[in-house]
Amino acid sequence: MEHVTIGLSAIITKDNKLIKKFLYGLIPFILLLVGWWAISLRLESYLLPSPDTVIDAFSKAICTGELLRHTVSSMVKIAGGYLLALLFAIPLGIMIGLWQRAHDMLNPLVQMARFVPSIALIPIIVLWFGIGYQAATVIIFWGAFSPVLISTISGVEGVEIEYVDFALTHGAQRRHLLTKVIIPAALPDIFVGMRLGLSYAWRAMIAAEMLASKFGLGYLIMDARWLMQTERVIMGIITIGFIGLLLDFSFRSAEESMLKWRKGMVLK
Amino acid sequence: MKPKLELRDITKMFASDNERPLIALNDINLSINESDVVVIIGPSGCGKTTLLKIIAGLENSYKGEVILEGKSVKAPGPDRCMVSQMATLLPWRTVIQNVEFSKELLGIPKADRKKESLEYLKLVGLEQFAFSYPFELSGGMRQRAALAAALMSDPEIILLDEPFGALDAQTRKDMQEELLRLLQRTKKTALLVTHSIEEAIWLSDRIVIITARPGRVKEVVQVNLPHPRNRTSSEFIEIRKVISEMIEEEVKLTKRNHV
Ligand SMILES: Nc1ncnc2c1ncn2[C@@H]1O[C@H](COP(=O)(O)OP(=O)(O)O)[C@@H](O)[C@H]1O
Ligand SMILES: [Mg+2]
Repeated sequence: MEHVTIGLSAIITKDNKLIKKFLYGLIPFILLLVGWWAISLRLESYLLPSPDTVIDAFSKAICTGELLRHTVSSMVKIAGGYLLALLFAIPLGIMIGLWQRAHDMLNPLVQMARFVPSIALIPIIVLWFGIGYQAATVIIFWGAFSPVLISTISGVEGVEIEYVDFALTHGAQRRHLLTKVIIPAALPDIFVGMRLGLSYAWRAMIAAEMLASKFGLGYLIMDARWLMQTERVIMGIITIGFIGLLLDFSFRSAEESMLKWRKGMVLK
Repeated sequence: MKPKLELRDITKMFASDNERPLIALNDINLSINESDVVVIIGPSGCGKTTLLKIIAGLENSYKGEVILEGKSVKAPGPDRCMVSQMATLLPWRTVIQNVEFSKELLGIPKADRKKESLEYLKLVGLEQFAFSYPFELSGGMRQRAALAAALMSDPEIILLDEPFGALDAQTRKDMQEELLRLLQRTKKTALLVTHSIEEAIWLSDRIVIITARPGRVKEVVQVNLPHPRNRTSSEFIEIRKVISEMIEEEVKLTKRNHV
């Protein structure tokens, strides 16, 4: 009987921890909601609509399919631009990281490009591509590219020589080193860049949608703004933040399962 | 009998901050017979790690020749597998994935290599940790895993750089016994670096004493005691005394050079 109780309590404590963590995370949201509601009582609705007005806006936008349409539009854009950025930035980063001459040649350009935000490119990109998916893809691509590239380079350049020696002394040929040593050793850094790149790309996309688009969550906010529908502006902001949270969460789960060999990641 | 491994006139220099290059090894000559266990001993910084890396093919730009079974070798290869001082393993691979690494590189089917690597893990007493990651192992367990990985690559000669340096006294003794048992059982030729005179005498057929930098072969001492050796026998103590004196001489020289 006793060990059954112990087993049960172990399960409960493990679950409790997760629930506790979730509840702690919820507290600021509740405080924010209460504060918002209290302040909205004192302000004109067009300055700060009350939470229930925003909830109404949500239910309306969900029923008409408007919210879904804009969300899907944003997701499709981010997926395309982001994956394209990974496809170019990771191989290029590996090449620069491995090959000193490529580093010497490209590093100044890379460092400069890093300081040019996507938003600064919007005018010229709209000029070239017009308003639409192409322009959005390029802007998202630019937002994700530099962080992924730079993290990949530093990951590859930081691979411990002892791992390469281990591989060589156990019979690795040069052609094995990339897949068996360099990429797995650099993966934690590449992941850091991918996460950073995703948040940069997401911001760049919202900005692009606000300035040069007819679809997407950024456009939804701009549209509501022109119509003076503040509750729809807030709905857009909340949706943007919430999707960002979901993306980051799924990213972290993938990271944790792929990098469980790292001490720090498991203990957290 | 043709020696398993021969070193001919190995000299290695490193570029240093001041103008003169640092001479790490100077004219090392050595030959090791099949199934011999040879121990290198010498003051710290005399080039022992450098020498093992040269044999393993992990250093370039040195003078001299490494000859394995009559053939000159330069590039690294599993025929001269080296276990590093830190008992390096690939941290993103589980213990068993590390042990079977050499076979994976050869393209041996998964089922076959799993069977063999489990045998080696059993041999070093790590079978319950087959699916753990290196960060979950203690220092001694890492050493045993690295040893299993090295044995699995079936080298002509196994190179061990201060394998037990970081272990506590008891674990160290256990590991020495285990190593000797493994080497006798697999009939491997081994070249091992150590700081401990006692460890050297207990394990080896021959002890190579290297001088303070620049490292040269000072003396080769043959140890003709039957295994298992008794650390308190008079012969053991006699050899220990001889070697201690030689090493003390070297350490004194190192100090004088530094003043
Ligand atoms: N990559 C390197 N560059 C410059 N000097 C080195 C390098 N590796 C080793 N040395 C020097 O060579 C000498 C021998 O080093 P090492 O072989 O590690 O000695 P040991 O293993 O006997 O302690 C030391 O003085 C060390 O500082
Ligand atoms: Mg050393």
